[in-house]
Amino acid sequence: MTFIQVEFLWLMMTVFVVYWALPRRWMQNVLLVAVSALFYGWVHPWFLILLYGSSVLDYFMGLGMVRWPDRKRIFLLISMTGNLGMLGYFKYVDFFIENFLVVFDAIGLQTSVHTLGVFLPVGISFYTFQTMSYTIDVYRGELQPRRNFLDYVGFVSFFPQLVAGPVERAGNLLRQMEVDRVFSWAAVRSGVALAMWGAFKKVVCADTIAPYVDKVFILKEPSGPLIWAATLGFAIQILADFSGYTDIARGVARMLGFELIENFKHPYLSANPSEFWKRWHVSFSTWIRDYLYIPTGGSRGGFWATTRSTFIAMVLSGLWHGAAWTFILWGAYHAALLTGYRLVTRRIPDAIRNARPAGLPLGEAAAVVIMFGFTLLGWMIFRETRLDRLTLYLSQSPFSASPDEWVATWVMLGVCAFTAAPMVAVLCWERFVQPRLHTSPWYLPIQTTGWAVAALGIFVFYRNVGNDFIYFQF
Amino acid sequence: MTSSTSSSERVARALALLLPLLLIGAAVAMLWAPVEEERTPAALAMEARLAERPPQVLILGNSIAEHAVDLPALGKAMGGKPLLSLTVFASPPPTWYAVYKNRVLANGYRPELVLVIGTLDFFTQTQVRTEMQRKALAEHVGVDEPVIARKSLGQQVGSVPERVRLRRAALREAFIEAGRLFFLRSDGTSVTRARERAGEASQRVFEEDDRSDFALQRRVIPVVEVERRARAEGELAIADSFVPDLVELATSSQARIVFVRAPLPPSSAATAPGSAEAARDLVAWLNDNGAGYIDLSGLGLPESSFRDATHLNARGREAFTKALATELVRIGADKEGQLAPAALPVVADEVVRLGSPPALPALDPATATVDGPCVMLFELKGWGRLSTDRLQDLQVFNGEPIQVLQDGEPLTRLKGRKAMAEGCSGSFVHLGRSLWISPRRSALPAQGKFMDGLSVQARLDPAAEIVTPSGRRWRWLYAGTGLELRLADGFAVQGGSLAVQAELTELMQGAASRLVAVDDQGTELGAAPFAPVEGGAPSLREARLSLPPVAGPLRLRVESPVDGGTSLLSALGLGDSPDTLVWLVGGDSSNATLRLIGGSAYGPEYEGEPPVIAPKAVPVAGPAPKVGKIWVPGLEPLSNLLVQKAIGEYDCSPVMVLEDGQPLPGRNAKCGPLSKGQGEAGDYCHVAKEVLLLASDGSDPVRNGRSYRVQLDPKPFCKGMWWLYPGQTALREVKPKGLLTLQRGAEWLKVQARVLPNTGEAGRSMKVQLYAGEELLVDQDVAIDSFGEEPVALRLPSPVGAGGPGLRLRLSTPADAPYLVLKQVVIESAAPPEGDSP
Repeated sequence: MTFIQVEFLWLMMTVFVVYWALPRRWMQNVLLVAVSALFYGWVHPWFLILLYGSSVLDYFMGLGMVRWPDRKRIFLLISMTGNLGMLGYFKYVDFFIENFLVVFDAIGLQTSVHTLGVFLPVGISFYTFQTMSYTIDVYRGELQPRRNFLDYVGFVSFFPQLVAGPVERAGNLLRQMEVDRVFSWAAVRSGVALAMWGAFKKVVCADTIAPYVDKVFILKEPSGPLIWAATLGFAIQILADFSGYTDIARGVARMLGFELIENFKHPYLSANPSEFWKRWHVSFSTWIRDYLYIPTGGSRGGFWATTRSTFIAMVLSGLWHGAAWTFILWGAYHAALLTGYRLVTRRIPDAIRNARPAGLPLGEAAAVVIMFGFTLLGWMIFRETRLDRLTLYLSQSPFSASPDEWVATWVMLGVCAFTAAPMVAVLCWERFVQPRLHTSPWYLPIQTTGWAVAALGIFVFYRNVGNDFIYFQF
Repeated sequence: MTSSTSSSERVARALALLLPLLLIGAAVAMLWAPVEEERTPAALAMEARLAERPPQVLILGNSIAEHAVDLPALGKAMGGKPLLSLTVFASPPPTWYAVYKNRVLANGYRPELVLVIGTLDFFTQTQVRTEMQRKALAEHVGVDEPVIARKSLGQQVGSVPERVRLRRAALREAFIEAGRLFFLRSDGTSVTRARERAGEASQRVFEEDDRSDFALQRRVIPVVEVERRARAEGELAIADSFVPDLVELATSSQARIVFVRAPLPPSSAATAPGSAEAARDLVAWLNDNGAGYIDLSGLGLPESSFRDATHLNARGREAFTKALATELVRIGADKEGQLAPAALPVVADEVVRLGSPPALPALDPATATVDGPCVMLFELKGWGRLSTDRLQDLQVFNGEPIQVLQDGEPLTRLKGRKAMAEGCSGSFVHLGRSLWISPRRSALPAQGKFMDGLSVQARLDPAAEIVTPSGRRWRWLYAGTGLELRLADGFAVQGGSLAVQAELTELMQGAASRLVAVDDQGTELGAAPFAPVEGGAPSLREARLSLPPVAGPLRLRVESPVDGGTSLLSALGLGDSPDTLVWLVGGDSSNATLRLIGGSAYGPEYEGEPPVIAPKAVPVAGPAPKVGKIWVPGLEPLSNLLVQKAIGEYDCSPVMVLEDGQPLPGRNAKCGPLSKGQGEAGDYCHVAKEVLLLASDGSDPVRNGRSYRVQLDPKPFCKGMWWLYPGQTALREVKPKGLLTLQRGAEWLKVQARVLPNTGEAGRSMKVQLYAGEELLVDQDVAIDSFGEEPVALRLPSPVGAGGPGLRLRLSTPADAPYLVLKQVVIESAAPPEGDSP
C-alpha cells in the first residue's frame, strides 16, 4: 500500500477515529503495530518476517548489551551483521556477484557462482538503518535498552515512516512511543495540512513532470539544452516526490500525536555542499554522519583523514540509494564537492565571504545558484544509469540545439515552471508572508483557502498513469 | 478597539469557512454539472474532416491502425475511392463503436466499406483501462449509450462518477498545457499557434521513428511505488465484445465491414494463450455474419519495420499497406457484392520429426584456438550455411538449427562475437565456419586451463520445430529425416480434389526430398518430389500434390533421403486448388518485392552536381527588421507550397541557404511568422520567388557582411522520397546477397515518381537502365509525362532474384528536364494493373 492510494485514506480515517477513542497508550500502540503490519504486508505478507526478524534481533541484542556489558561489542557485531547481512543480501547480492565475477575473470580465477535474481522488499533500507541506530546508541550508552517489546516494535514498524523514512532515532520516536499522546486539534489541523501538502507535491508536481522527464531520458540523442532542462525537471521531481512522501509521513504521524524529524529543509537554497547535506534527506545524512563519518575519523584528523572519511561516507550513501555504479559515482561526486568546498573556503577571507554590497546578499545568491548547478549535475549522474550516455550528455553544448529541440526545451521548462511554482509559492509564503500574518485574524481564511486549493489540486491531478507512458505526448 | 478586533476576527473566521466552501462548491458544480448535448472539440474536428472528405472507405482503430496504413497508397489500391481514417489515439473498440455511430452514421455519412484494424486481443477488448482511453471514449460518446454502458463501463454514460472523472481530466490537461505553452507564448504568440508549434516540434523530436529507445525507460525515485496493472480481461466470447455491434452498425447502413489483424514485432508478438482458438472463433463468427477478415499478423515483418513494441514505422507501413491492398482485392472489397469468406485458421495438431538428425563433426578442444578469456574458436567445416549470419540474410531469426552442448546441456546462442561477455559465459557464436564457444564456469576444472577435460558437442536441433520467443516457428529438414504435420480432423474441401503444395529452401544440397500425404493408417495417398522452381532462386524447391478428397485424419510428410541435404520447410499449404491454399507453414511466396529506392535506408548515390541557384546571393531588406530577402527568380516551383501540392508532403523544398559556407539551421521555417520577424536565428523559408531568412546570430543579414548562397540540397531526401535534379543521375547498387528475398524471381521494375510542374521542358524523358552483373537488362527512355499516381512498370526480359548477379540501377534526366521526386523504385514479381506499362 502507498500513501496516495484511496485505500490508505480509508485506512487512515478509520485508524484515526479508533486510535483516539482508545483509552490507554498500550492499546494505541497495539493498534499501531497491527495497522503497520497490515500496511506493510498489504502486497507481500512475507516481508513481515524480515521486519519482525530484524526487530527481534536488535531487541535482544540491546538487552544482552546491558545484561553482559563485557560482551556488548559481540552483541553489536551480531546486530550489525544481521541487519547489514539482510540488507546486503536483498539489495546488493546480485550487484556484488556481477562485479566480483568481473574481477575474478580478469585475474583468471574460475568460480561457479551466478546471480540470484533476488526480490527487494520495500523499505528494507530504512528500517534496517533505524534498528541499527537503536543498538548502536545502546552500545554507546546513549540509550537504555527497552524491555517493553510492544513499544519497541511500535518504534521499528511505525507505519507512516516505515517504507520511505524519515529514518528515525530511538531517542526521538521510541521515547514518544513510551509516553501518553495528548489529542490536540491544532496538531490534527497541522498534520492534515502537512499531509495534504505532501500529497499535493507528489500528485501535482512530481507525477506531472515525471513522464516529461522520462520521455527525454529515453531519447537516443537528446540535445544539450533539452537534457539539461529534463535534469532540472528531475530535480523538481525527486524533491517533490521524496519530500512529498515524508511530509505525508510527518503529517499522519502528527495526527496521531507523534513528531517526526523534518527531512527536507529547502535543499536547493543551499549555498554550499556542506549545507546541502544539512538540508537534503536530513534523517539519512545525520545517520551517516553519526554512525559512519564520525566513527571513521570525521574531521578530527588532517585534511586527508577528513577526505577519506568523507569519501567513505558519501560513497556508501550513494550505494544505499541503489545497487548500481552510477549511484556510487553520484556519492563520490558529492564527496568530491565537499572536499573541494573544504579546500576552497579555507582560502576565502571572511571579509569577502560575508560581504553584502548595498545590503544585498549577492554573494550568497550567487553561491546558491552555483550550488544548484552542481546539484543538477549530480542529479544527471543519479538519473542516468549508463555511463556512455552520461558522457554523451556532458560532451554536448547546453546551448546548441535544432529549432525543434529548442521548442521542446521551452515546453520542458514550462512544465518545470508549472510544477515548481507551488513549491516556490509556499516557500515565499513561509518566508515572507506567514511571519507577518500568522498573528493576524486573516491568516486563518488564507490558510483554509489554501487547504481547499490543495485538496482540489490533489483531486484534479490524481490519476493512475498505468500503461499510458508509451502513448504520452510531450 | 475590542469590539472592532472581535468583529474582524468573526469575519475572518466566517471567511475561513466560507471561502473554502465556495471554492469547493464551485468545483463541485463544474465537475458535477449534467452533460449537455454538446460535441467536444475532438468530435467537431472529426466531423469537419468528414465534411471535407466524405469517405467511401472508412478506417477505424487506434494508433496501431494510424501507424499501419499509408492512406494515399491504400486509396489508390481501392480504385481511388475516397478514404478516411478516423482512428483515435489510445482507444479500444468501445470508442471505435462510438465514432462510427455518433460521428459517421449520425451525421448521415454512409461509407460502403469499413476497415477495423488492430490486434487480435484489441478486437475483443471491452474495458477502458487507462485515463487516456477513458478520455478518448468520452470525446465521442453520446448521452444515451446502452451498449457501451452495458458492455464497457458497467454504468450509464454520463453518470456522475464518469463525468466527474472526465471533467477533472480536462481541467488537469488545461492546467498542464498552460505550463507547457508558457514560454512559447512569452512573445505574444496565440495559444493555438503555440500549441501547434509545440505539437509539431514534439512530434519531430520524440515521435519520429528511431528517435527513442524504450528499453531505457525506468523510474528512479527511491520511494515505494506500487505498480497497479490493469487486470487482464481474459478471453471474451465474441458475442460479448463490440464485434457484433460494429458489424450491426455496418449492416444496418448497407456497408461491408472487414476486420484486419495487424502484425506485431517479433520481440513482442508472444502468442497469447488460446489465441489460435480465439482467432478461429472470430473468423467463424465473421464468416457466419457476412463480415470480412484479413489476417496480416503473419506478414513476417522484422523488428526494423516497427518503431516500438506495437507500431509500424514507415518501412513497415509500406509493407502492411501493400499486403492489405492485395488482400482487399482478393476478397472482393474493391468491388460490390459479398466479401469472400476468410479461411478458418488451420493449425496442425502435431508436428513430429521422423528419424534422428545426422551427426555433426566432433569438436576437439585440442584443435581449438584461444580467442579471449575463456573463449575458444573452432572451425566447423561444411556447416557455414546454417550459421547465424547466413541465415539472417534469409530473414531467419532465432531459428538456427545448430546447437552446442556442454556435458549434454545446451549453451546460449549469441548473435555476434562482441555479444560474448568477458569470461566463462556459457555461450556460443556461429558465424560462417567459425564457432566460438565460451563454456560454463560450473563445469570447469578448479585448476589448469579452462579447456582441460572440456566436453563440448555440436549437433542439429532434434526438435521438430524451433519456436522463437515471438512464436515464430522454424522447421528444419535434415538428411535422412522427415517432418510430419498431423491434422486430426483432416481437411474438408468444397470441390473434387485436395491440392497440397510445399516449398523448401535448400541450404545444403543433396538428393531430392519428397512430399507425401498419408492417411491415419499410414497408407500413402500421394507423393511428389521437390523440384527446382522455374525462375526462382537456385535453392528453392517446390512440390505439388493433387489428391482426391480425404475423409478423416490426414498427415502431410516431407521426407529427405539419407543422401539428402539440409532444408528449411518454408511453406506448406492445402486447399481446394493451388489458388486457394490454407497455409499450415509459411505463406504464399509468389509475391515478393525488392526495394531499390525509397525510404531513408534506400537512397541512391548521385552523379552530377545539383543546379546552382545563387552562388553569391545578396540579401536585401525584408518585410521586417533583421529579416533578409534573397530574390530567386525561377525557383518558385520549388517553394514549399508548390512542392507540397505536387508531392503531398510539407517541408520538402530542397532549397538551402548557406551563410559563410555553413547551412543555416532553420530550413523550411514557417513563412508567416518569419515575414513578421518572428522565428529563431537561422530560420529561412522559400516563398514564391523569394527566400526570407534570419541570420544565424540574430544580426541583420543585410549589414552583417556575411556571404550567402542559395543552393539545392546535395542530399535531397524528404519524407521517404528522393529528388532527382535535371542533369543528374541517380545510382543504386544491390549486391547479390540483397536479392535473397526474391526467392521466386521477379520481372517487373516499377518506378514511381512525381514531377514538379513548370520546372523544365515538356516532352523530356528519364533514361532507365538496369544491369544484372554486366548484362544490360533494361535501357529505356520513359517519358517524364507518364509519371503520375501509378508507377511506371517495365518488364524485364528475364526474372532477377536470389542466386543471380547483383543489380545496378541508373536513372538520369537531361539538364532541361523537369525536377522529379522519386517516391520508390522496386523490383516486384506481381504484374502491374493494365495500363501501368509504358
